[in-house]
Amino acid sequence: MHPPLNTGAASADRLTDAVVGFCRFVREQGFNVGVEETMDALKTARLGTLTDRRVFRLALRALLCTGKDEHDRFDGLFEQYWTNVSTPGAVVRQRRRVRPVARVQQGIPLLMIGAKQEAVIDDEEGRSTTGAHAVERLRKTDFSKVPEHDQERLEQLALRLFKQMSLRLSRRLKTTTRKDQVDLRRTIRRSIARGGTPVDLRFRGRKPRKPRLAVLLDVSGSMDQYSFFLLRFIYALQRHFGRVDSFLFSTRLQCINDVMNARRLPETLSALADTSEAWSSGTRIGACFQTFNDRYARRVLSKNTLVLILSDGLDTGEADVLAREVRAMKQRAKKLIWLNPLLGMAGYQPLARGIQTVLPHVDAFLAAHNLESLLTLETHLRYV
Amino acid sequence: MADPAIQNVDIETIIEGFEREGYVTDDALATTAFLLLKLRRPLLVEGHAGVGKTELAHVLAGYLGARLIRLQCYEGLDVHTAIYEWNYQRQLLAIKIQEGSDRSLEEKEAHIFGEPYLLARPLLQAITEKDAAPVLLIDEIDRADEEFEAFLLELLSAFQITIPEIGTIKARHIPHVILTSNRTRDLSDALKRRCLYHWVDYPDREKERRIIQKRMPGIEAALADQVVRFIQSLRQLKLTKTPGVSETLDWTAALLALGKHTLDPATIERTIGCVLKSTEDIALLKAEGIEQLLTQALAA
Repeated sequence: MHPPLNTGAASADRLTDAVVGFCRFVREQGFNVGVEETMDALKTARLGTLTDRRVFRLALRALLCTGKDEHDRFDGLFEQYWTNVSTPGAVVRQRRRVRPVARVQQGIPLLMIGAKQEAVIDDEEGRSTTGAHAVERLRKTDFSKVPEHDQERLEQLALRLFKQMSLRLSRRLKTTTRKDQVDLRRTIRRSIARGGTPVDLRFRGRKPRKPRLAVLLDVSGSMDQYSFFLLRFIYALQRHFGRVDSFLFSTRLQCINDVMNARRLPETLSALADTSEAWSSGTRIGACFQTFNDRYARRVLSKNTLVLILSDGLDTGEADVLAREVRAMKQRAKKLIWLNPLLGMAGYQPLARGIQTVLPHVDAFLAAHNLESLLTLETHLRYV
Repeated sequence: MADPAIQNVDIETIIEGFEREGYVTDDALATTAFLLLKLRRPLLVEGHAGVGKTELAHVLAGYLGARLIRLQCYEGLDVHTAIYEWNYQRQLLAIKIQEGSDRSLEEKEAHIFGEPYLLARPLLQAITEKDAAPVLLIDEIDRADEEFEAFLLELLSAFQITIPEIGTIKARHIPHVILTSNRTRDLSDALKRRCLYHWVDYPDREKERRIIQKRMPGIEAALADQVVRFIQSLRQLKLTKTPGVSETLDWTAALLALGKHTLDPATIERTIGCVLKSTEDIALLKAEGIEQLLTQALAA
């Protein structure tokens, strides 16, 4: 069939080294391979799979991959490693690439650098806006119009309010747990003492099903500022949802689940700056939603999912595409809420053609231009 | 495990054995099955709907002559349907029967929570199977919730189940476990890591033809070829539900039942319900033009 692997006169030791080296190599390529898998890889090599290079590749592929993406990448990596392995040290040693140092680039959107905004606010100036009045004012200020020196204060306030809201929501979930099923097991236990007559009924509450959330944020040009706050908002609420999937879009769609699942938000946001590849002005909402529907919708959306879209709906693409894709999205999801910061502007009418065509498919069309409007979202989240 | 059938297995015998069971396989899948038997790791099979993921478990069970135990997952699947449940009716009767006896309360309780009153559900059955290792199929694991997945992970590493009233039950024979997923959600890293992985793609033209001929031995080669060509070109369209191999087989059976020897546009239109399962898809096909697509498919 195929030529055996080039292990020729190699001693068992060298073979072991090579297999262990390969496991390490794929681990560095992002595969989830640990000691146990490495041991099994060695076992596999001893099961006689080594005589045929192709079989050995297939065996390791079954063993070391955990998903389709890895499955698709594996063959290339295998060739890359084992072609060089006549000198096994070579590949093993060339590993450990230096991670690119995180840096703030010129011209990246505000969403990205928001977290790094320097906290050097003049104390004098700061004091002038303390107190209940200031809080009230900040709650109502449009995110894009917050003066530089209030920026940090607004973030702190946002954090506090979001936390309160998160707490309210969790209390609510606890009290709605209904007792609707007789727990026969415990009832029978209790009934032994009464000669088998189930006098004391025991109940089993139904496990509350946590809703799922999918968020699509517009990060083109003017929307950065709003997206940034919504992102914080979502982050604060993450634990109330069974699952949160987040996406950014401008001209392209990007899934940011990895970054959102990270522990701390400031690092999260700067990490985003590193991972984002192409941010530019102009929005192709329709095309981005199409990507979403084609690639992610099946996994992300269910009849238990709430979809939040934040965008001003100014689409440079075709309006028909947008309407079609939003409709498809709505069909798979439970509820679709479109947030539009422009709604907060006095006298704004949703006339943009993009928005016009999607309105029929949207469950709620809300403003999201200041903290207050974000907080009113709570009502919608409560009854997902 | 001293099972001779597994001791002497190699990849060629697996391919032959699977073919005997009516399953057309390739060396990628056979290699994976080989490792499943040798390393005793569970196998996670992913792929589009209708490409034969579930079928694989049936075939493996047939090949090994082992019992197949199936657990169908769904949202809200809980311990009582997956592992075990007490037989409440019987327990209630037992309590009544014992009413007059002079047993103590503790003895009575121990009695009704004994093994005769236990209803074993699939996972417990798989562990307590007496004679040989069974094949355990956990179907559509992506539909179960994360909590269940976590429990499953524990079961798949220790192969034991603890029942508070009875104690810990250890597996007599470690079952061959196959999990299938339609990728409607991501599985946990830990579970994926525990498993071997195999991706089942749509078969290529040659393989699909062999599958048809394997499953419908009487079919004329020309018809099989036309069906496969047409299905393969359908898969290129942007359908909401791309037809899998099971649709191919259903359709072929329908064509045979109608006594057809070749494909023609009228027949396709009348039987398309076997292949496309939504009105949007059928409308899309008609917009593309059945006749045109058929001509292209046969020329390709």
